[in-house]
Amino acid sequence: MKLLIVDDQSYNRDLLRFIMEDEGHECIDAEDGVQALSQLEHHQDIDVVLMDVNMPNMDGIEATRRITAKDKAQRVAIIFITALDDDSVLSRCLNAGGDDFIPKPINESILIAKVNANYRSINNQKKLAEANKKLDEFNSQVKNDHDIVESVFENIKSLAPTRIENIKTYTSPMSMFNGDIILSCASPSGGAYFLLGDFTGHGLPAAIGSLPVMSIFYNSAKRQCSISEIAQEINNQLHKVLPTGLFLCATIGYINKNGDQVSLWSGGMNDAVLFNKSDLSIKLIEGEHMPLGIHEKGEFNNSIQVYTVNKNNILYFYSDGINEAQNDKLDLFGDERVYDIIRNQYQNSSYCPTKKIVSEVEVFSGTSEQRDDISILEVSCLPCIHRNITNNDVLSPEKVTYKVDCFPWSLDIAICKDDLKSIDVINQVSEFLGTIPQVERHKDKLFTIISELYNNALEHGVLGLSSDIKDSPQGFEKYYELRDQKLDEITDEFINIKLEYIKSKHNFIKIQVIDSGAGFLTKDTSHSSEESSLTHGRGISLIKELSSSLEYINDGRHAIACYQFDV
Amino acid sequence: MQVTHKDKTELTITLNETFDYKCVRQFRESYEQADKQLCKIINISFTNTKYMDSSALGMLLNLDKTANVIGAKVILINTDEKIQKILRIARFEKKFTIQ
Repeated sequence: MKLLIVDDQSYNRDLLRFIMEDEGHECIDAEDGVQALSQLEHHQDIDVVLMDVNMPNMDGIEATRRITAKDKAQRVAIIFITALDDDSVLSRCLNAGGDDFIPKPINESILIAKVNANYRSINNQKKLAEANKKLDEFNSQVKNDHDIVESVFENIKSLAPTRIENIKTYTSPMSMFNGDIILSCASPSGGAYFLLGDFTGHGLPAAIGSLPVMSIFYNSAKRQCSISEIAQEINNQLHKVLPTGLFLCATIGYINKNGDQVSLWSGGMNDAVLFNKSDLSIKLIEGEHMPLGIHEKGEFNNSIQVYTVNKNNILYFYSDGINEAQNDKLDLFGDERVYDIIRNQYQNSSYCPTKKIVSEVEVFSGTSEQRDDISILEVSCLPCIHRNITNNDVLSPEKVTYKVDCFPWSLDIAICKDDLKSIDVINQVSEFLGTIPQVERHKDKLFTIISELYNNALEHGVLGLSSDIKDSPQGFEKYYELRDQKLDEITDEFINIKLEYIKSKHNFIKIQVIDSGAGFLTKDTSHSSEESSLTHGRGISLIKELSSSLEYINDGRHAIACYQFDV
Repeated sequence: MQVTHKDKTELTITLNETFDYKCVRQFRESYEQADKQLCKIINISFTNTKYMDSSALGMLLNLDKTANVIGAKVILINTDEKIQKILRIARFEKKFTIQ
């Protein structure tokens, strides 16, 4: 312990110093208040000050006032040494910031006991101040971190090209740190994807988990992936990166452009509500699956539920912060209250159940400490309307997403001999087309067209198979067995595929398939026999419907089809 | 391709991403698991299916013939817009229930 002894009488100073040094403490002196202040300035490690009251230049009370006012961070215990005969002096000493006093004449054992007690107390104060300082620093660091994470999330969310008028969301502020996640994004086809999720756990781990979810969601939406694929991909990623015990309860959905079909994958969430405005009925949609991030790749079940809906339908999805909200008596808000609000609110002119649910939950929870974050997603089953996020103009998502310009190109593929046998040509070609901007969203139709053209060229042209074999179910399989057999026997045959991207007023992909076979007659039976139960002969009409033109020349050896699409 | 049974009256076949001639045998073997006396419904789920061609249409018609023999109804479920378009072009809505 280090002491500062302040007294104008050298006798008093020496007496105090002897006693304290005997106790093993280090002592320094000051003759008045002014000196005391300067000593404290030089010796930041002083713990206890023994202060006389009456001194020249500056008395003990003024010095104490200045010490305590000056620097709260430098904590010293100030003990006055004074006669106890004047109450007003004593109270002035304590009011000025003194901690204690020792009566004159000095009793040695009381002096030692009081100094020790004050030292202990000042030490505790110092530790507390130190801890508080660290806590303050930590809190401001956490706030900083949250602000950064929040702005990163906002940036990712701004990746969505549009706002979808049919979809309304509510989520409490900073809820991402409680693991809630709510997303929506336009599909280039004009429909809309949405996701409501709730991570187990709180704080940063839950927030970190939402990052891969968001990026997968937006990228998949842009590529028009199916709900199954998105669920599968999110599950696989989360399973890889999250520790066991942290997973995501979520509903992922898609509403088509016309607003008459909704697909859902749901795992671990509350029942979704399918409300019908015309008869105020409510149908509950149960989640079928385990939450995302639990199953390994192979075990994951990506099957979806598809609902046909109409303009009277509104879908509601909500996080368990709502139904599990508690009041002071520990009652739960429950699902029934939610359903009632949805039903009752509809008869109100200002129909906004989302707001109403939020305010009802707030009133219900009152001052209860149990408040959790809440998120609600509302999807009106109407044709999707997409709006520019900044100026609110109605937009076509196709134009927004695919504004990348593409140069004209052509691609020649020559497949011969062994490649005809072993290579899955159609899948490779359509995968390749899927990587080209603008063409990507036509991948599925191009797959069908190229598959038909190629298989005709291979089966009827190169292999000389006749579709008549397919007339019976046994023949159908026989046909494909023969196909494999004949493929094994071929020697110098070939099929050439030529793909061209032609830019003009309309954009085309011109597809030519040329084979080395003996030629074949193309049959088109579907028009003459719409109700036909023949299991073959549908390929040509399929191509004709999907493409803008189809022509066979050179006795069927050379097919030319054009696929037109707008940019 | 995944096959699930709901007692003996209902069979669900979930197709792969691509439904084309490569699935011929596997598809037939899947629906042949249907109980010849008791099976009433055969669901074909397109949940995972993105691509199909005309041989797939042929396979569905073969399934329909088998289903008629045993007295079961074929329902095509979880079809997205793209798959529906191909089924519509082939006028399959007249022969199958599409959901």
